[in-house]
Amino acid sequence: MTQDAAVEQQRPPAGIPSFDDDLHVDAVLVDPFPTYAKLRDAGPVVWLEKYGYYACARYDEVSSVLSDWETFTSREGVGFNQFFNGITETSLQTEGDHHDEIRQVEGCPIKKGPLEELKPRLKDFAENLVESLKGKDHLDGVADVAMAMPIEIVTDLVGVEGVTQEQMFKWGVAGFDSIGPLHAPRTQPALETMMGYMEFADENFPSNVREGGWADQLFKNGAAVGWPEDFARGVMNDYIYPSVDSTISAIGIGLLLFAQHPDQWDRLRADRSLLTSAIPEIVRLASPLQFFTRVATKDTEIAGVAIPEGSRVVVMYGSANRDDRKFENPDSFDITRDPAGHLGWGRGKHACLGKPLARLEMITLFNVLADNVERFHAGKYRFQPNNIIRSLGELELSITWAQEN
Amino acid sequence: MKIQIEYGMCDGHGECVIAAPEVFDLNDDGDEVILLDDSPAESLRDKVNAAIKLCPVAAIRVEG
Ligand code: SF4
Repeated sequence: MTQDAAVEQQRPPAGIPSFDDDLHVDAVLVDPFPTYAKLRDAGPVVWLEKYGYYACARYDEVSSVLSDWETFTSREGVGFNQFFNGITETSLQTEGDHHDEIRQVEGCPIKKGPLEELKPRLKDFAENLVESLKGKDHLDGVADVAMAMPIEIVTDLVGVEGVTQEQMFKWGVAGFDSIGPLHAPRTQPALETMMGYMEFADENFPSNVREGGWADQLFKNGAAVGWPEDFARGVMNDYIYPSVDSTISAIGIGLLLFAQHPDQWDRLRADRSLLTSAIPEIVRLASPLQFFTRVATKDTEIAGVAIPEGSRVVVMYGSANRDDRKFENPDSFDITRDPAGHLGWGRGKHACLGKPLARLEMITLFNVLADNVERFHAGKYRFQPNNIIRSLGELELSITWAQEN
Repeated sequence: MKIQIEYGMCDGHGECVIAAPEVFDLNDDGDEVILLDDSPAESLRDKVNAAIKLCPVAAIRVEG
């Protein structure tokens, strides 16, 4: 059965809890947790009528589907519409040796060696940022703090000339919105924005990339393994939009969590070795990417529930990371929690490509903040709906600075 | 069975540690794999294969 046939099959399969919830309306996108709890309680697999898809909301099933790429493939796309799902120049939507080759080529600059060289630059950036914040009375935790490092640093690292940071951010937002279902109001405009991006890419890559930047390396390393230029240009998308918004989401929500949990901030300030568990704990609770999909390559089952070949299954990272079957007091923020096992970076073959960089950005920034900030005070805040990313749009923040000693 | 790690590739995802904790661990920074046993017993082959299958960057290889 093809994906389209699965969509047409509007009647719920027998014996599976079925819901008519729309995950992509604003009210659910900004506060999905009651919906997640309902889906988790209903069973290991549920049916989403609005989509004609199966969905897994519990930890164990999300984890096992993500681990088994042979049965639950990304090759038919990981999104919610056929336009996005038809993109094949990305490790995200390929499998097997082809996936590994793309991943190895595009992963080159995001490895230990290059990241080691980047460390002093990130630290300088964070220190300058914090100094500049000290002069301001009222801060927006998103615009002034969370966005600064991912946008400035990543735009520069990728190294495309003539792209403003604002443009980069817009592509980031639209890139993720373009993954949503066609019935969601954000999807069509986002697909159009991404068409504009493709035109820009055709005209400017690789002619307008900075020598030595990620884009430049990608075209060169791609050519070395025989990629046509068009293919490398497609793979470049993997740097453009996923690299910015997801990190902004995690940093912004991290600031909010520390403002709401001053005890956790005190602990981190007193013991910086906790950064290695605090950052994963932020990413668990934030789950910047809330869900993707997979397609069954054969008749199979999940937790004893029959899943016919060709069915699309929604894997709900944001819900799995709040599952009390896996995490004790899943909604509480505990920076000493065992960092292994959460699904905030995904799992298996398609786990986050940019994780080592995002992790380093966050460790560096929160470490410098811990040197300087005694207390974060959060005022009003609001989440900004997006088809895939859960992110703050605004966060009123005031800061009690630590006394210099 | 002899295991080789391409350390330059490893992202520290720790998938291998979850799949085969007898064989793999992560360093204290949580950003690179530590090979606990480079010639694990045959009984661990399934777990090692699971680790290979999960590693996002194909950094684990096995001979024999
Ligand atoms: S799964 Fe691969 S990338 Fe992750 S720690 Fe193990 S070897 Fe490294």
